[in-house]
Amino acid sequence: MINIADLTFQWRPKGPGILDIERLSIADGERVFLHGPSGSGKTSLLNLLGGIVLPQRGRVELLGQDITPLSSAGRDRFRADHIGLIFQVFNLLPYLSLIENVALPCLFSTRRRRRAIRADGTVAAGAWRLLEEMDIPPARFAGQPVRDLSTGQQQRVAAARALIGDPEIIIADEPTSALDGVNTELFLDLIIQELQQRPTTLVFVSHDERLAERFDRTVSMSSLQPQQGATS
Amino acid sequence: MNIAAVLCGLAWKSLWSRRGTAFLTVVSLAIGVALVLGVDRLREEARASFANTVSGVDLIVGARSGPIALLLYSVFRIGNATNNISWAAYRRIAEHPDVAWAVPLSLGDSHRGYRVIGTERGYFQHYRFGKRERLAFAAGGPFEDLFDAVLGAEVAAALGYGLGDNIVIGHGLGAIEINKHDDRPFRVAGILRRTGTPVDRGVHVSLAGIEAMHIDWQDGRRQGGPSLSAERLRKLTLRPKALTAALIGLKSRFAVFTLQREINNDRREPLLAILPGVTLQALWDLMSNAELALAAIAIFVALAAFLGMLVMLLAGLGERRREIAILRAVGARPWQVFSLITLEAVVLTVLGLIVGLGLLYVGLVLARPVINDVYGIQIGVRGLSVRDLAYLVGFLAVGGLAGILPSYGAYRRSLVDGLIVRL
Repeated sequence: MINIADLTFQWRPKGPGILDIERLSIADGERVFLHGPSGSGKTSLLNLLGGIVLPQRGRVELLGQDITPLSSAGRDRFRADHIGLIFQVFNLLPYLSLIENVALPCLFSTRRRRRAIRADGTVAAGAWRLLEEMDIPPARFAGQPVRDLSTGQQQRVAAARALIGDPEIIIADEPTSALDGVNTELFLDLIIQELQQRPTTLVFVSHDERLAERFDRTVSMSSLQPQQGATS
Repeated sequence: MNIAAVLCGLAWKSLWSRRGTAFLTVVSLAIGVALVLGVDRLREEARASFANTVSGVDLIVGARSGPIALLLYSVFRIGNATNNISWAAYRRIAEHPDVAWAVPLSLGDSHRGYRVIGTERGYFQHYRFGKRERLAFAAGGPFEDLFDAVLGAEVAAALGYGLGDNIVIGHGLGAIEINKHDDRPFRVAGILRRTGTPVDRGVHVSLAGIEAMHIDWQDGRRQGGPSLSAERLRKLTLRPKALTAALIGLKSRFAVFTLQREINNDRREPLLAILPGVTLQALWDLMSNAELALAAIAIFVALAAFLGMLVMLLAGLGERRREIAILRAVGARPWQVFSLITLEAVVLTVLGLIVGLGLLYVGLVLARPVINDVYGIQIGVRGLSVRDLAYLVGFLAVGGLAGILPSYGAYRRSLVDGLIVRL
């Protein structure tokens, strides 16, 4: 569950780019398509949800807990334990192997490591299974450097990494914007299929409205704002 | 899982993925480390080697020249005398009431690149090295006959000589002698035990032997006419007219300054008497500027290497913004991002130290015979001293410090960029 109410945020005091959110509420297990043109405050919102930045005013409630009073260490731990992130491009660390890249969150979160071990026996086995489910069979791909994977493949590896240890919230920031139509479809098919088995909340940010039909609900950035045109 | 182990693992894998540049950085660090330690080591070893060479000699007397030059050519066999002292002057000093013993030295000839020292049997009795150790014979004994020679340990070992072998002594000091005194060969009568001093590299013969060798020779060339036979030479009483230097031992060390003044003020002949310890100190003072310059160059080379590492890490940051964002996304804290870069600097530095030590020891082992050959200075290959360890700790600290700037850059990035890197 994600709840944001009466929130104001700006990067620098008196600077441009104020983000105002009157109310954003996402239920457990809901798959939300968050839509908005660039400059609509998506970056700020993602950093707020991730606990990287704090709002000047308002609450950011995740899983029933307001994370704004937490220390930065507490917010970092919360993010590591409960949130899986997928970026637009270049999601992988080039110096780690395929399996190591997927297992990365388990190095920083004991909770996710325990959950991965409970589900699959070992973290590596969990990574292996998720990669197979994302159609990157490690038996075939594990030997090669991750930078040799295609962009579509890299995004699916990133999805596997977001999923390992079963975090409650997955946030995907324009994960398909660098992909062609076929790969976009494949990516969506696989991640939605994966999430059908679990009560995970998905926030999928994209400017491509054609994808919206695959989600439970579409939220437009502009609809969150109290006044039109006050943001950048 | 231990976060320190996680960060170390990540730092190592990250460096390994950039092993080309990392390798070059390590090599430049290693060269800097080896230079700094090597210069320091050479300085210490040279001092120890010089200080060990002569002990128990109160005064060294030679023709008037520079004190350091006299010390160098008389004891360390570096350089040549520009002038000699007369036999009469030597006898006057040797017979001085304060003098316990005197050992004459006549230099200027060589055998296959090793210097020949014309002296008296007292040399083997009075010469001391290291902690007042006497010369000892590994085989044979002092010279008895006119054409007997006593070899230093290294001469015997390097040229493969044994007792009774005949050797030919050449005039001059080159490794290749054009003018050989080959009509009067010498016989090896004794071989000295190794001392770790220039004595090892000397061929010792009697003063009379030197004279016998030079009869019929003038200006470095053989004169015409039939030469005297060795048998007839033995029957002559050969006395040198001049010497290169003399080592003096006193009955009481309190007389040393009085006698030194007396010799230096001798009106009959321009002589110079030096106290070996005092002159050695003067030599160090003279060399300290050069040492300082060498040490400064070495340290600047090392600093340049650390700058190189800094540049490598800083240049990497731009490309690593996404990497930092990924690490932040999976829960890495800003200080962990900071330590990741610092760890890379530390790993590079530690590798630089290890490779540098390797270079140092390989260099010492390779340079040892050359330095010994050219300068007669013995460089010991010993383990690490406390001083060396202090240097290593210092390097590690500098390496860590050099890592702080890029680490801080990464830290700032992790805060400014947050999760979303828009390039």
